Amino acid sequence: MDEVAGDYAFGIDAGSSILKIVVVGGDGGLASSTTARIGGDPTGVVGAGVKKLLRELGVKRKQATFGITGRNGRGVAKFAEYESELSCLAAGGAYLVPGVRTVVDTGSFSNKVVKVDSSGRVVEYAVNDVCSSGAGMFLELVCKSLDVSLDELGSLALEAGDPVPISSQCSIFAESEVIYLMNEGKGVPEIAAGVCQSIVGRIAPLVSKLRPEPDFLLAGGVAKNPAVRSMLSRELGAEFVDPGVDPQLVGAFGAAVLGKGAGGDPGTRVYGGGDWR
Amino acid sequence: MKFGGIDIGSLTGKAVVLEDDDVVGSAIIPVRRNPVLTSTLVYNEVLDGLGIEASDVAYCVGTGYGRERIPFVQKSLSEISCHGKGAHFLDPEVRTIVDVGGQDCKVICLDDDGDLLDFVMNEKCAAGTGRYLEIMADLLDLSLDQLGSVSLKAKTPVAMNSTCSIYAQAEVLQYIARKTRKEDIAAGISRAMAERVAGLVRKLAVAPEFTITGGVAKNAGVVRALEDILGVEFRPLSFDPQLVGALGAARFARESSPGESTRR
Repeated sequence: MDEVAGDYAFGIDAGSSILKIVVVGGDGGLASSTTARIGGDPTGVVGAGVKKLLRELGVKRKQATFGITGRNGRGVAKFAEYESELSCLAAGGAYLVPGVRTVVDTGSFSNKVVKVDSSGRVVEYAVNDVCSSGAGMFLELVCKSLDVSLDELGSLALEAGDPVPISSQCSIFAESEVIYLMNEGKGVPEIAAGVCQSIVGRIAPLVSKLRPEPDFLLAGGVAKNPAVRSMLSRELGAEFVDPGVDPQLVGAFGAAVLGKGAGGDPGTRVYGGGDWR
Repeated sequence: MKFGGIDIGSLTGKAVVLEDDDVVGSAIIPVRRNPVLTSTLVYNEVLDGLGIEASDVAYCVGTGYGRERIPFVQKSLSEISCHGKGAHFLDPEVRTIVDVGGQDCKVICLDDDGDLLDFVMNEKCAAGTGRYLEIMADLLDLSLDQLGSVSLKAKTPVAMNSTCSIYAQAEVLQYIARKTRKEDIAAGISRAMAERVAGLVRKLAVAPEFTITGGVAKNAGVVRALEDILGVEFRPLSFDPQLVGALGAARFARESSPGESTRR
């Protein structure tokens, strides 16, 4: 397999609500990772996360390369080169799943679909970042109404009988609809299944628009929801390949792959692929 | 002879009672658990105020989101018809009515006789409805009324990039974290709200004169921003703009009453 030029390659994905950092070691494997809530101070949270990992690995900043991406990633870490979210999804997807051609990413604020070529570059993409109805925030809000955790939602939905359809598209209206449905005596698992179906109904058309090809990778926080995963898989007639890591980390892997040295030295790059796991 | 109009919206219930052509009583209350309860309470409030019984009202028409569940009305009609009716009664010059309610937004076009020509409606997305303003007012720790008046004091309104109410919430929180002045955030919110409504207005071939109804018509910040964006002036109505739908329903009640000679 290919070499990693620096000792350690840091990939930082400062998303709209969660910070993800991965460190790829000299052997191309995952040396360490961390996640944190971004809150109101992305610069502080990113700085603290990087410092924590440097200390943990006993590495000096000079020995590492840094790439950063994400909605909150611009201008928060001077030592890291900013890479676009789409490039990072493509590069990270190709690094983790060498045969990947379609990466579907559902974060808390947006849906992105990226078609990838054999060298991990973006061929085509589709993004929805104007409406939260297909994004993780939709699930988060509805979970509050249902009084279940985001992690529970998917497993509850898998146990459900017939899903209760959610008629509101808007997250705000769905929030109150769910309360109404509970008052009407509908079961929480059935509502949870309806909620998962609703978000799948918003993601699937975005994917289909690009005439996607396998291998498929589902990335982002919502990928951890097993019900959404299987419903989307059924809807698209596509199997998602397991990336072997937390799917929320795909973008951060891409940032690590594309990142440069502290001095912006273009010679220090991580080259992807291989069975590093 | 007395006639009733009941408008059960998503956030408030409204009732109007007419004595022939004159409004003799009206009320607005926040919605209760269900439309049955809301309509009964708001109607009783008006009847009690007038010292009369439901049996003293010759005919009653219901409208609004909850209209099918009002137990005591003789007939129910769409909000579109009732807002058109009410606005035409108040001001026959009006051809375009922009109605911004708690969970929807409608643009209604009338012909010279006050009959419905065309309409568009957004009920799918909270942006551009009263719900959006409510969420934002909450974040700023202001009442809905304050949001409007505070926004008029702004010097440099902030730019809002998000359409989605959820994303706009995050944007407003960022402004708050940066200690941006409340009035500038409020004005940015009013502007964003007005842009969204204006987008709906532009979908129709609208004609002057214009008026605005619904709860949001009472928000001076939004109304002014909307006038500015559309380059029009809204004709002020001689009546609470939030009661126009209920008034229209009461007018229909008058026309529908068997005891009345029908007159347009």
